[in-house]
Amino acid sequence: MKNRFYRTSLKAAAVVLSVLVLISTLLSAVAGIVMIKNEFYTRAEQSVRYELYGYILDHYNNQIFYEVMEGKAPSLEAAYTGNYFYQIRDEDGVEAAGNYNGQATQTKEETRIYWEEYLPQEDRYLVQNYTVVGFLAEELQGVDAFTVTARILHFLYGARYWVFVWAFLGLLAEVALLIYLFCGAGNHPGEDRPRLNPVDKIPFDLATILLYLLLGIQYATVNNYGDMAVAVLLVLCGILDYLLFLWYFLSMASRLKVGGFFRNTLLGRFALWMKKMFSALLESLPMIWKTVAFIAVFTLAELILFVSNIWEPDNLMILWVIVKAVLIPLALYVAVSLHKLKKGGERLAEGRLEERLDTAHLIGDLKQFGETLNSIGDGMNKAVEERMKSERFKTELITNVSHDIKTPLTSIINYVDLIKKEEPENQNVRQYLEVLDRQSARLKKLIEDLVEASKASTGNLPIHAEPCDAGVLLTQLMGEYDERFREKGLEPILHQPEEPVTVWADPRHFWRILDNLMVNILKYAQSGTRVYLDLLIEGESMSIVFRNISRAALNISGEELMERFVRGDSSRNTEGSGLGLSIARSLAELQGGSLKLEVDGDLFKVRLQLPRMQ
Amino acid sequence: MYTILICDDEKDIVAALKIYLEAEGYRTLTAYNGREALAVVEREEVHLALMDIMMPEMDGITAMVRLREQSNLPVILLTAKGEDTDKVLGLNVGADDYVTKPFNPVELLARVKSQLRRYLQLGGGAPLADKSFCTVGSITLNDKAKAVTVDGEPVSLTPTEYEILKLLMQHPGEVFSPKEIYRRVWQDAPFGAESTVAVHIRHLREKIEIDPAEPRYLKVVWAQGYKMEDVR
Repeated sequence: MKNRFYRTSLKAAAVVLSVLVLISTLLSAVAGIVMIKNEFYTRAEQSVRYELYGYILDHYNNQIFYEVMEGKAPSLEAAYTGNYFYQIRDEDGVEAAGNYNGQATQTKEETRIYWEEYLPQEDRYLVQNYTVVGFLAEELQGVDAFTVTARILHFLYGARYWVFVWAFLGLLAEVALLIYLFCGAGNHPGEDRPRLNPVDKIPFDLATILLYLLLGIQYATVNNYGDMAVAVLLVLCGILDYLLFLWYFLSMASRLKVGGFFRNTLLGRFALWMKKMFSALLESLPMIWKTVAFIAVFTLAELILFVSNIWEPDNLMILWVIVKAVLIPLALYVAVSLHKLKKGGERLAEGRLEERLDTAHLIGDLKQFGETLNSIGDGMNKAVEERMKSERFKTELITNVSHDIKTPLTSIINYVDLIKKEEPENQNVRQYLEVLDRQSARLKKLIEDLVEASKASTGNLPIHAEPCDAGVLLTQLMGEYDERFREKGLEPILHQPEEPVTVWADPRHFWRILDNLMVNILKYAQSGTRVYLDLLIEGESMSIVFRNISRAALNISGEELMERFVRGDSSRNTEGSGLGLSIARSLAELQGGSLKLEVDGDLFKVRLQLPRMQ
Repeated sequence: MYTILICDDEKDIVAALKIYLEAEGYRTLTAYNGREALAVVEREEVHLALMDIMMPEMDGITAMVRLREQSNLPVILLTAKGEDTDKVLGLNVGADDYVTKPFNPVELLARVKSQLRRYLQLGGGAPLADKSFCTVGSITLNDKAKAVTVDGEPVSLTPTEYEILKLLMQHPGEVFSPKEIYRRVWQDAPFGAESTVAVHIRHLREKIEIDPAEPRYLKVVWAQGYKMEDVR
């Protein structure tokens, strides 16, 4: 709809219409002004008409006088239409010539004419004052200056108020047409976005210069013409100028709508070119040379100012202020940018990869540096994601495979049990069955631990953290293990602070960590020794330290031992899976804590650290 | 004689279970997927079903949902995944109990026995408005006789264990911290003696639970305390 409304034919029609409306409006306005000047609104029509008749009569009087005196035939059409009569009288009032024979007249006009005639015989000029009296017939007939004047006058009188209404309406119409044209500027049928016409692509400043050049030529030439032709030419030029200005402003409107106004000027193109050249130059320069160039330019400018300026304190003061006004914001800007970059780098170092550095307000090399940091972050992010994905696949694989292993294992365990129930006579068979029983139980435990270890180490476990009372958990732990410790001849000793220690953790995972550590102690502690459990508050976190005496000599450091557990090496030569410590460590880390092993002679020490809630 | 339906796609497991259950004097029926299990239940009188989850044609969960539309016979799920979500899903759609593969035959038999007893003997038959009687699941506590039965069988408890069990059974679903239990049972301030409570609870669980590590009734709420599951 909008597009159909702005089609080219309609626009052209609007332009033509606007020219016509403008002319008619101007004409009515001029007519109104002329009528005001001639007192159309204060005098009766008749009074004006007789004044005009007077002018015409006076003109006719002059013309007829010269024609008569020079012996020519009267050329006035009025003389033939019979509306005009005249009488030429000399100084003494004697009629010298005329066609007035007492006809009925409505008005007359006397014209005095000073006449010189050269008399050769007497070698002098005869000077006489003639009086020409022009009469206008009572009843006007035919078509001549009088009747036409009377008719025009009558028409104007009738329209003397209407011209203002007409001018006003014309003005409204003109404004409406211009609004339509300006709205339509740049819009084309069938296109959603405004675009430029080929002529609109002329650089705007060039167009401006051309326009004024054209106007200048026009005024220079038109002024050299004569009278009547000038009027016609002026009107034509007026229309031309109107069209030129209309195009000029419409073009400006479409340029503003399309955008890039500045770019479509010679000046703008030049500025852009300069900028491009300058930035290309800057980019190709290393930072150090840029700094040198800046300092050189600045120093040179200072030098010129110092030398050219008179050494007056006032001028020096102004110079000082200007230099500071430039240097201080610049230094601050560089400092702020560097701080921002430093923060970005620190974020990367901390592994907060998803937080990007905002490079919008950085320029030049600083911006480049910021973007480099961002792309490092992106690369690392991608690597981490890939790793997570592959870890997840691994966990899924382990889970599915272990599920498949469990089904045959169930049969093995059940049938071993069934054979045992048959109570075989052979002693060897019984022994072998014991081995089968023990090893199948171990296999079962291994599979369960394997799934858990893989989930815990890849973080594929849901964590529902809540405030946990570590004291209560330790009490429960002691209760659960009391009997088993006693069987092994171990004496647990628990120390905990008076006040309750609250930990932010998932209680099930927290329990699993402690459970695994206790199983480990049961497995490796020398019987007949004490096992110490200490709950400690350490600032923002809490630690539980497990200490026991190892049954076997430990010729290995804590870190190496942990490594072995994490890799699963230890599971090959001990009972159980040996994955317990590894699971415990992964679970502690998943909850924002840590698990460390220490070996001091035969003293085996595990330190579990978890964040505390205040 | 009670009839038990064994449903698993693994024929060897079905055969082993058959041997165990028949040795205990149960009559057994077998099915190798959910569809067959439903057909058997249509046809015969079944008192309990052992159902695997992962089976071809129709899995155990779907079969159980269908089964529940017409019958309330006890179902024990045999799950190989052993993941919490599977267990919760199974119990939500109407399973009465579950065992995780690879399972211990003794434990499985204990669970079967427990479910059958609840279903056939206690099922609605032990209302006992008497205040001295207290029932949670298949545990019944008679305060007058100071006697406790689990699945109808008497269990001998020490006086302390009995008092702790009574406290927890009188407030099912409520979590008691070790200190609170000490205060209520010993009627004394704990002063670090609450680990005694934990030891007693452990013993109690060994006496009343089939698998003390996976208790059905007397639950350990880690880092908080202990509670009796609120099942009637």
